[in-house]
Amino acid sequence: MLGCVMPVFPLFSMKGFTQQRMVYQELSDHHGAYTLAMLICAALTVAGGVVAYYMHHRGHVITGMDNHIVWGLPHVVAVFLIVSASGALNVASISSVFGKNNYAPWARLSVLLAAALLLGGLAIILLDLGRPDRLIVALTHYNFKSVFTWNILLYSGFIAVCLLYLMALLTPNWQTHSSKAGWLAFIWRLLLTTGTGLIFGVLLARNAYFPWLIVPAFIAASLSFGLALFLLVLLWVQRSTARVVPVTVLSRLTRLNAKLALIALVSVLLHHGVNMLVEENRSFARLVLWPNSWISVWFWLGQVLVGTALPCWLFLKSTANARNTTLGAITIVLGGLAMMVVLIIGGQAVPMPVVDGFSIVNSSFQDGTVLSYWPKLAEWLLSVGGVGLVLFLALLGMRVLPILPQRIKPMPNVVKRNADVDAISKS
Amino acid sequence: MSTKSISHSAQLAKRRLLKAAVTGGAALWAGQGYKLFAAAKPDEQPVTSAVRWGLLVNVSQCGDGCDDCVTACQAENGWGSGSSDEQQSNALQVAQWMRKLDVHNPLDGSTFSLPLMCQHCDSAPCVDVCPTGASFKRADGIVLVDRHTCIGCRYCMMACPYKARSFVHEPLFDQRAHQPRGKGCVESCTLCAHRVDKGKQPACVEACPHGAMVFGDVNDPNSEISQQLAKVSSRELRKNLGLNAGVRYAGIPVV
Ligand code: SF4
Ligand code: SF4
Repeated sequence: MLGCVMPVFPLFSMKGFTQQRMVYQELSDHHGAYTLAMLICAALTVAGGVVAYYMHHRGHVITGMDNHIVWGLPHVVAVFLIVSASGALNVASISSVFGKNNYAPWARLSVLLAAALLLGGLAIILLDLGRPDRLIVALTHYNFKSVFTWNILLYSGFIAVCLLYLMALLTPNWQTHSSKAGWLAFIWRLLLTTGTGLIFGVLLARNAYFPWLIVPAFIAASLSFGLALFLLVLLWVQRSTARVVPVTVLSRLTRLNAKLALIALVSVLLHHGVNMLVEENRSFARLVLWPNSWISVWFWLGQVLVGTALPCWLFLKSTANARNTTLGAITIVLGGLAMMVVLIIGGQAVPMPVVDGFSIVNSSFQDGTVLSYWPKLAEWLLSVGGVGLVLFLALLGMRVLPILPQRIKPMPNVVKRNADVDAISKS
Repeated sequence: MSTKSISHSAQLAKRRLLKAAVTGGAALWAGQGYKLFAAAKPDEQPVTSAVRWGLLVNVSQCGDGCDDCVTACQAENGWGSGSSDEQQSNALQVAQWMRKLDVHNPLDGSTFSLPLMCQHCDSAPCVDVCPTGASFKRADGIVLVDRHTCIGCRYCMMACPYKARSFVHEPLFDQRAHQPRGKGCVESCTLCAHRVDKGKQPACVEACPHGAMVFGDVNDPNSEISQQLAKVSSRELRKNLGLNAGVRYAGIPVV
């Protein structure tokens, strides 16, 4: 079935697609790749749901988390998805806020993915609660002093803003409002990452987080991770639905992603560097920067090498192609997860100076030692289930709403130019 | 900017972030010049801020290798050896309302020992961060968790500067009637509020064979704790965080 075709966007000018009327359509159901992807995502989501139910029944004893590492893999993945939600909006912001029309065909996908990422992250956090059955309590009892409460409002608001923005993009008569909605989403996404960074920034107890530096690090990281996830989805769309993403657009996005990954790394290095200057925070910064702990392995190998150096090399060395873009985006995602492991798990694994000025030599609770953490099957399934939910929602959105531009047939001159670019990059 | 001032501004920044959200000023505890209060309280009478319960631990009297206070807490509140529950949880998953620490003294290489439990902070970070308000401070300074509104998010555990809180990792069956506990909720030392409200001492204080713990109303200048606090030099752990803890330690060497 061919989805309803909506002529919506006014004439837009884009190199190669000059003066072409943009038409969007739902994904038709005769894409084998789509059905397969839906089935896989649905299976992952169900697996996450089942394990959440089992965890609710048995308790967190089936996880690798404990009274030291109270937030584990589910929180790493959830925070990663939530901050990425902000970054996934990059393409929409570039088109609506900064007026770059050649990104406009993908703005809807960008907003849809942002909302799906946030819902997936939120689902993981909610299902990991000790009492997920008390969701109603969380929604009716608010402590407005708590950064968590601010974030509940920020996250709900983000979803509402995304829906509004999507409506503005989808509804023909609302087109004039899409730039206003884009601005609102742009401001909200910054608030969202600020709020998420502050969850850690306000923790007086933890000598791992420097409040005014962790927030910019989260903002920079969100832009990079979200764009990488968007690129992966975009490439899937290109490959599986025979849509063409112009090489110029892909190249600009990959270059932008490389720069954002670098900025994210610099801001994280700045955070750890300043921590080195702060007496109380030095022990954590040392564990991250000195190559003598599992935390530093995640940092140097994960965030620096795999998450930044490799994608920068892949993205900056030549014009973007599908293979390099996929590889580069995957490495950025892995690096992003590594950054979260360092900050969230590492921040809890570092010994807390409970008796300040003294070291603990013996304790039934292993105070004074650098702790380790390895997730069990329950955490893996819950986390993967959250990712499955994100993709399931995104795929469902593409199926029921006119999110994707109709298969764009490049103008002959573009076909020729793309062929030239490919030839140059191959030579 | 010097290391010290960066460090100070980091703490200050965190404090300001918290303070920006926190309403109400903290009553400063000077340990002297407060009025008298009768300990036993009828059940129907609410707790009052006329009292501030405090605990003074004299580290120099605390027995090396002795953990009678911990065992008494377990028996009283039904956790650890005081309950047949938590058999599946590992050593770091089981409840730790109170623990003994052996601490290295860098001055002479010796070690000293102290019990660590919820410090019943006046500006309690666990209370500030709790999204549902389940973590709360009574008017008399005792910090508790409302088991009916705790959703088990563990943010309070992230926020506690003493790792004094425990999360219940498995279903429980063997509980004390006065101390309901539950899977998926967070808990910590209650300063034996159920005993204190009946005019009794916390179980740990009563059990200490070395007399290393003194409990009482620090708002009462005639109470033993106020008099001890006036006599001996004491400190709160992680004083730089400005939490105004209800638990104080005497006899910790100055380094
Ligand atoms: S010691 Fe920890 S649990 Fe107790 S009041 Fe202070 S922050 Fe809360
Ligand atoms: S675990 Fe319970 S008491 Fe602790 S912050 Fe969450 S809701 Fe509050």
